[in-house]
Amino acid sequence: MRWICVSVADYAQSAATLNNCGPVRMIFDSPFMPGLSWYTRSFGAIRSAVTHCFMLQVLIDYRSYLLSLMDRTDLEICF
Amino acid sequence: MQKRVGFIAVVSMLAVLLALPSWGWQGRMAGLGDAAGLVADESDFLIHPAAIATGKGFNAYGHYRLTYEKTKNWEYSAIVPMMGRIYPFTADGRLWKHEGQLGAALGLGPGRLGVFFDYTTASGKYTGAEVYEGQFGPGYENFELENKLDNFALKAIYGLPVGPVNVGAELGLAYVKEEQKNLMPTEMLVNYPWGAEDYPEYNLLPYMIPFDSKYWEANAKVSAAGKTGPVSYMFTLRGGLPFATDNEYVHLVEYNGFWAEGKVKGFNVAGNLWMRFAVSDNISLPFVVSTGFKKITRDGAGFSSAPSTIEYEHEAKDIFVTVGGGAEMTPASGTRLAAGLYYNYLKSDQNMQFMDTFDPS
Repeated sequence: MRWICVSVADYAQSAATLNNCGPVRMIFDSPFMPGLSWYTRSFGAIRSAVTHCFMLQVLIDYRSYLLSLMDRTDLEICF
Repeated sequence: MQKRVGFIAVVSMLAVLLALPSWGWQGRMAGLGDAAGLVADESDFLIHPAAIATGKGFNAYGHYRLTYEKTKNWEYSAIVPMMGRIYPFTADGRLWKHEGQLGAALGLGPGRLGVFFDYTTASGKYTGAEVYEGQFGPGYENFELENKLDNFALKAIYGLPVGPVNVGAELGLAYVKEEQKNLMPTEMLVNYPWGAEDYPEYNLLPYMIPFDSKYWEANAKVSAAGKTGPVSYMFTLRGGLPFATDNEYVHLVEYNGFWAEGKVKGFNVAGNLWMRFAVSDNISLPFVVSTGFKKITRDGAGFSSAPSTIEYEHEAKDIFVTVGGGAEMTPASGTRLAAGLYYNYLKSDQNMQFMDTFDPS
């Protein structure tokens, strides 16, 4: 029987909108018995991520007969 | 013939968008996240069905949003402490997402009815490389990741005043087709699951757990909106259930591999509360809190070319909590200023289990 533990230490993604920019842990436990006439192998994977995001939004909406101006600025920080 | 049908469809859509009163998503210009609730907007009834009761006349709506996401330096390292080996992976890629919506709202009986058709399609492609020392010498691998989504949704919204409160409901039906895939072309590996077990150099599961799912989803919302003194509020509960589902996991190694077929199960629930405190005639303080939980399980069973039997299950659970608030000011007619700060808590857990059993009897 062989046990392998793989831990994912670094998992970063620049696109915060993918909601995966937090740390991810992955643990695999693997009982594997090769060489037998009957075998079963299985593993379980756990992938967990917690992300905190702060978004500051400023909106300006100006409408007149001659001019319509609208601007929305978002600043979003995720960790 | 197909070109002619396409031309007629495009002209019809333009006619709807240009000739009828249009809906401008006034406060909802696309950003990383939509700070919904910060400013009052006609589109609020898409979140709180009760808000549709306040409209008048016949209105047609059209909306299209294009999102491009560039992902750079998407990295992870598989570390095998017992062997002192590190397998560093890095990937780059992009995702295109198109979201379209057509709909209309009109008075019906004591309230108002809205009917909307949404279509969302997304396609992501990523390429990566891995340079590692390895247990038996150095190695280099290229890999590719793909994800696709097609979501067709039809929903009916109805809201009406009941005394001092507006109440509303929404019923929706969606057809969802989504796929995730990982490949190592040099090794001719498609959706290889056993790398997580004993070949860390082939383990792409931290990037993308593969599946190919199709399912229908029934969604419902109930909602109330009203005003108590200087405070106006909108509150909505929603839930959804998949049905008539189909899921596949296909793994290939050159001409071998396995094929497992199963179902998609799960549910999603969420609640959304918006409050707005009127400080004066032209200043209000909005406050938003929403939370939701989604669980989706994909499973499958089948046979490999070994031959052996394969069973697998992939469960994904997502929780979100959003809390936000700010201020909205109307200093003059036609002018509006708003600023808000939102906090999002997102928790994602995925569990996957594979079992491969060979029985010569």
